[in-house]
Amino acid sequence: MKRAAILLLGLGLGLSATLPARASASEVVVYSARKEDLLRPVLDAFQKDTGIKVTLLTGKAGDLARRIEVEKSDPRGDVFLGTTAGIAELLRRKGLLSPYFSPAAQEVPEEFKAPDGSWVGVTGRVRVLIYNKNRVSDAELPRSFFDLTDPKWKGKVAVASMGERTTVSWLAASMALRGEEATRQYVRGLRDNGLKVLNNNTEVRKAVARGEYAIGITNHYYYLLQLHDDPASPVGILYPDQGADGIGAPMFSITASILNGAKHPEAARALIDYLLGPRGNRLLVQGEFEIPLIPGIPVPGEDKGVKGLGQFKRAGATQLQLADLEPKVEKLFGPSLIP
Amino acid sequence: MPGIRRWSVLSLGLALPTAFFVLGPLGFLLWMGATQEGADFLERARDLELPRVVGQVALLATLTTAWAAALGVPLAWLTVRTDLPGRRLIHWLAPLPLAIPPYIGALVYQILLAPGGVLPNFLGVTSLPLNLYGVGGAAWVLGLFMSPYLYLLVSGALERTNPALEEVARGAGLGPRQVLRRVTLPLLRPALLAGGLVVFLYSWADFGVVSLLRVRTLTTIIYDYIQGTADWALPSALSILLTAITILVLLLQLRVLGRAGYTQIVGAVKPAPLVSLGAWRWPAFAYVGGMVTLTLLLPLGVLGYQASRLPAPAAFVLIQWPYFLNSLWTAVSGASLALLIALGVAWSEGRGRAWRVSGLLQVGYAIPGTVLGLGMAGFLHAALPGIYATSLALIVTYFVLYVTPACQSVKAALVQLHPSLEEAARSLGRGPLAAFWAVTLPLIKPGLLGGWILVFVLSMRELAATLIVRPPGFDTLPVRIWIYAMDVGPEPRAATLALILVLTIALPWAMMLSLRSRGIPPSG
Repeated sequence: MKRAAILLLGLGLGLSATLPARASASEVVVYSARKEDLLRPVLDAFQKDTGIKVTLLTGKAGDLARRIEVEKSDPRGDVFLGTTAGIAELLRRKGLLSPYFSPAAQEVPEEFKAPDGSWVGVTGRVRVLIYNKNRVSDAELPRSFFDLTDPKWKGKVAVASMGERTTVSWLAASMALRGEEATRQYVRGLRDNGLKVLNNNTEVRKAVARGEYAIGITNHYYYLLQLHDDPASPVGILYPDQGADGIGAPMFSITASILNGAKHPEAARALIDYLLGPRGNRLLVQGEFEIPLIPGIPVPGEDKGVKGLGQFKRAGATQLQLADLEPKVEKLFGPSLIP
Repeated sequence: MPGIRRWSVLSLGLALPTAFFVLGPLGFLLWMGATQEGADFLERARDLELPRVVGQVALLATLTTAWAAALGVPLAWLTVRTDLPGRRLIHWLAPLPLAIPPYIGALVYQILLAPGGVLPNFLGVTSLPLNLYGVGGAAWVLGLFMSPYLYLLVSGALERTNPALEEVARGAGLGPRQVLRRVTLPLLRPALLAGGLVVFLYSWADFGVVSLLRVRTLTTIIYDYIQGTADWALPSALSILLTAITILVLLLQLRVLGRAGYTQIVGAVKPAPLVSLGAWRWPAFAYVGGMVTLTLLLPLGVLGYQASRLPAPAAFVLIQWPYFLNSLWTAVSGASLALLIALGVAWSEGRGRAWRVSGLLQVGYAIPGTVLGLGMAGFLHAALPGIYATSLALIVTYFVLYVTPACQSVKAALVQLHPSLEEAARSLGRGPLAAFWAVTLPLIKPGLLGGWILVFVLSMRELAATLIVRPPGFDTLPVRIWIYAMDVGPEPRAATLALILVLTIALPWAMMLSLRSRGIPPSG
């Protein structure tokens, strides 16, 4: 009978521990689609500087968006950090975000902010190509995303699945600048050319660094993450479509938003101010290896060939345009973007 | 008869809340899936090449089952029926790999065999001629770590088989092969089918191994849509499809297995005479050694080595401590809840010809974790917002997923107990509960403990549903392993956590196994 008692005790213990903890005034619940490791330093600094406790739920963007939607009537999160504007804009249209014009956001370029203040870009990421230096010589490097349908790259290119939101945004940029038909043909061409879809961008950078694939279509900070992991990796970075006739490299941003009906609106605003403020933004940019949207903050990896805002040709599609096109990309190309 | 009515009330009281939690998530998904326009879904289903994907998963599940059987069944025969050296130790070791979740097995073989892994680096090549990524690799890993299920069931059946039947067959002039084919194998059929089904269904609905080893399955498609899009309809519709096929397989199994699954071979007879392996002892021993190496030594060695490369392990483990506690007590609570309900269900069904609640429970077992997670989150928020996004949601999820194995364990224990024992106590003036408490419970204790540990083990290592249902700030060990292995990269951290998880699971598991193997006589 002792064991039965222990079982009951265990059950009771379990039940008691699930009782909702008292809502603390100085707390903020962050739903983040960003890698936890990269975000931690700035969140820890925020917690230390303000005394506001940060509770973090890390997930993928779509996962979190669905959660926010389910919790509509009784939001459990305060701040949503998305990987591109697409999901944030979708949430805005469903009335799930609460506008906030942070005074710290003034220097962020207009195109990285929702007109009604529902989301704001806090750092930038550029869609680039990374390549394995042992498998591709400088002379034969492609110059454009659109060169990758060339038979010479057959079976040598990898990209992350649409589980990574930036993959969707990347094709949205092509839709915006080259039209639907051209993008359809492009995706078909990539598929016929044996484009390898991997689970996520981390797998892409690792597979390219190992030489499994010669070229990876990914975001610029994965190049830096790879070098951070192993400084001797034979990887290079390439900004595609930079020529006079090129569409430029698409840019996305991490977005910060406050959820509609957030239980800790004050703390949520404080966090967004902090993420855009001089100390917080510097930490965030450094931690994420991204490029700053605010002038005066150093560009991580500049010595390794990473270019800051204004130093490369940017694809001329605004974040809003991309967000508009993303549902269509999901529908048209989703099935081609699954491992 | 008032007695029967009482059991009916009890089983109804158990059935209603259980049905609520088992069918609620499915209902939620059906409702969400129904919002998708039919034509649109069909178009996307075509783009997704669903028939090909379903075919590929069926192939994976079949290969896995065959591989697991090829590993587990001969091993069972060797340990139970032959004079294999060290058979008692092997009987204890063989089921232990169940403590290693297959996704951790995949992680280990990825570290060893994938391009850039230990073996290719050692050989100085980019990749091995046999690619780990794909159906073959996934079947290899799943088969290795699922084979103990077959081992457990088949060795159990071999122990219970009356050797007199085989003796009679031999006496009638049949050769050893004919005895095997015409007597032993038919007797093992229920165990083989039941074990094969567990393996088949598990690989059919697996998420962790196939996503790490890059096989496109229904679960990975569902998960990609869940991760990347805010869409409800497509993942819901695919989930319903996946569940429907799973339930179909289960029904098919009921037809094939029929009542055979319940046939008990009566009486603990004298143990079968051991087959002398003679010169085959050592090849057999090598085969067994190879299996133990592949499923236990190699995984533990790789994890241990990777973990040893972690800088500042103490600080790291300290940070992960809360996640460990999260895992531990949700699994303990889930297992306790499942066992309590299973006890009620099995008792009332076994004694009172009451409602067949366990059939309903089996639906929960048939739902893949990814699907249940998606449905459970939506359902709980709609129906029980107080539980939604608390750790209770995880406990309920583990309960729904694993109450069936608990129920099977309790039933198996009760079957061996004649009702007359309890009736004797009642005739001496005890009430039904008192009789149960004084007589039945002590006698079925080992079965209950086994069931509890089984659910505890399965809950501790659950990943797919936990990812979706967990509350903010409440990660479990498998979730942390997944985050490190899939998304961030540095494998030493994933390996360290995996090692902690495996050891935590292995401890009670090994305890249970040593209780069980007391029945095995030492080899001569």
